[in-house]
Amino acid sequence: MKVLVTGANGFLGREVVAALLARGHEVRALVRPAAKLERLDWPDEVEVQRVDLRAGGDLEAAFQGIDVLCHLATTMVGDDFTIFSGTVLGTERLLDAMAKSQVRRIVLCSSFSTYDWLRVETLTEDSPTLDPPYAAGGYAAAKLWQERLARRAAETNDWKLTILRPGFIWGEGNEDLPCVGQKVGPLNFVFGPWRQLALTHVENCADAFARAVENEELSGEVLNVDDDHGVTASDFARERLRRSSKARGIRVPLPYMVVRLGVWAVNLVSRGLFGERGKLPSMFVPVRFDLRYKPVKIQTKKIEQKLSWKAPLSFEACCDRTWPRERRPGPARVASS
Amino acid sequence: MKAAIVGAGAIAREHLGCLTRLEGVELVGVCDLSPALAEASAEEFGAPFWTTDYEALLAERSPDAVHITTPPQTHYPLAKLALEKGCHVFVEKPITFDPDELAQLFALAREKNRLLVEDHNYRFNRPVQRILEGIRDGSFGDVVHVDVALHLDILGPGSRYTDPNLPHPTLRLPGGAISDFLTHLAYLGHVFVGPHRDVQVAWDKRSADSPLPHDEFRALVQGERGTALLAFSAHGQPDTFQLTVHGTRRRVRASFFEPLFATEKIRGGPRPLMPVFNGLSQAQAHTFAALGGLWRKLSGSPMSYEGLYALIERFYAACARGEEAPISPRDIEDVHRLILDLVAGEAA
Repeated sequence: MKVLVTGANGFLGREVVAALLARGHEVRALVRPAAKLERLDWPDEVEVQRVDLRAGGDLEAAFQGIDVLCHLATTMVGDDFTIFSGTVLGTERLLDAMAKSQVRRIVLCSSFSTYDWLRVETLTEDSPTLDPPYAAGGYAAAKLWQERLARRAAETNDWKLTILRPGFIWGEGNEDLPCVGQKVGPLNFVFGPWRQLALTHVENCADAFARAVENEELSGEVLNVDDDHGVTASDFARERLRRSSKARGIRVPLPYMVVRLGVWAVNLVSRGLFGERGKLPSMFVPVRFDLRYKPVKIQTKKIEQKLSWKAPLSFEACCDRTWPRERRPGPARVASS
Repeated sequence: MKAAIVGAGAIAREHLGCLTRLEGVELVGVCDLSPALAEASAEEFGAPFWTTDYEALLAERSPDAVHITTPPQTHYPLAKLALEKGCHVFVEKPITFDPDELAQLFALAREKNRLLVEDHNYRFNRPVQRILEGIRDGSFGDVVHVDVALHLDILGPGSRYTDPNLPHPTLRLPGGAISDFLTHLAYLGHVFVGPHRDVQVAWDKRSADSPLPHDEFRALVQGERGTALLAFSAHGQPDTFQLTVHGTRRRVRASFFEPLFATEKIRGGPRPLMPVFNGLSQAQAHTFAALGGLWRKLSGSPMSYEGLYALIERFYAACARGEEAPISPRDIEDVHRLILDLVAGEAA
């Protein structure tokens, strides 16, 4: 199978390329014109096409000889509108080019951030999504719009579309996760220390994508990608402080309800002073706060059933890959919760 | 009045945010070449209609006024068509780079009895309006000199001006990325010192490895009523947009990014104490600016775009009452003449 991977040199993309190659597929990697690929050590058989999706360019040629599009590219840098417009314009142009090609299958990378976390209690693929999506920030809005565009294009062109919604993707280079808590000086506040995190290690996540690419039966399906290791916020913070040379300070656990009460109080004051127009930092916007910190039960039955997928790497193995050869426990450096 | 907008990029969001707050103005449609951006903007700001076809927007929604927030190279044909269809037109700066096109548009606006306004938003920010009021009532005295200084880190990480993957459209324009800011500098100088008689310009490039043709700019403008020093710096940090107006009776330093308005003036009492009172007054102004800045952020105010909101409000009031535009065609043409001379200095 020959797969066109967008965002191929990104944090997830490079692992998806590796997983596809390991499973015997051919890869055409779409990367930005100025992308630096030397460190990726890709074998010669990876075809590289340099193009910026936001600019259009020669996108139709990228689909020649391709069986499946694996669309991972997302604008990650900039303010809310830059992230939204870059992601949506790129997706729009990519799908327009695909409509002129023979390619009929897409695997799209969406996100847990598309769910309406104010209304989610047990997270499944049927949980409500944000509608409208704009209050939740540029990234969530961009991901919902990517889904919307892909669904419309799939319906119009009779394509097979599979949407994967990963939780927080972590690994070496992306280990300071916003869903754990907030750091203030030497204090690492862990919000809701006993709640299960919606996590997927980048190699596990890439494995799910590679398997989804292979499985044509998944047309029309949405699958959440979560490693289901039962890792709590406190577990993650402890391992990070114990293993990473970049992490410093002590853990300070704060129950979710205590912090949520603070957020509620801040919103009450803002509403009293400024009405609906008040503008708060994103941590104090309830839907954004709950996306990161709300304790919910996460069900992973669907991806297990439909894709026969369970995370291949254990949490211990993920930690070893994320923090190899780094420091080990030092009793004076960690304060127990 | 019915309002429509063409171009759904970043600046359009400020226009749309204002239009949804204005009483007596109804947003009737959004147009953009990207269907997704047009539809998303319409959905977010409550417009009942979106399209990628500008002529369809004008024909089907019959707006009274059109906001043009597309890239500058596209302004002229879009403004011309809107005026021909009998709409008032509010265009992002610059309306055009060609003085002939500008003259044609104003002639067409006169013929159709419609308003054509270029966005000179900072001119309508409160500090500028307060100083102009002081000039009118005599408390400021006459303007001797004005400093307009914009420092922006447009070379920093993530800057859209230096993105190697997507070259910024302004890099093809005279002045490069700085051309994006020249209109602001020019109209702020012009509003205090009047039409220019002479300019001396210095363009420089300090960062040799950046794609920007220039990253530093200074201009000394000799106007009819005084002098203006216009400055842009991509290196001076932290970011600021400051205006200092030197009058014969007082001096005001104002900032657009923070709500600073600091005055030094000739005071009664013993002369040696004058610097003390002026110093205390400035300390108070800076304290208010710091707290006011925080208040402004949390209150969801338009921040430094307050002038855009004020200008749009005046624009619609003038359209509704059949009055003169809040910025006269003469002022806009003077500012364009100044910009042409500033850019001619680049070529020299």
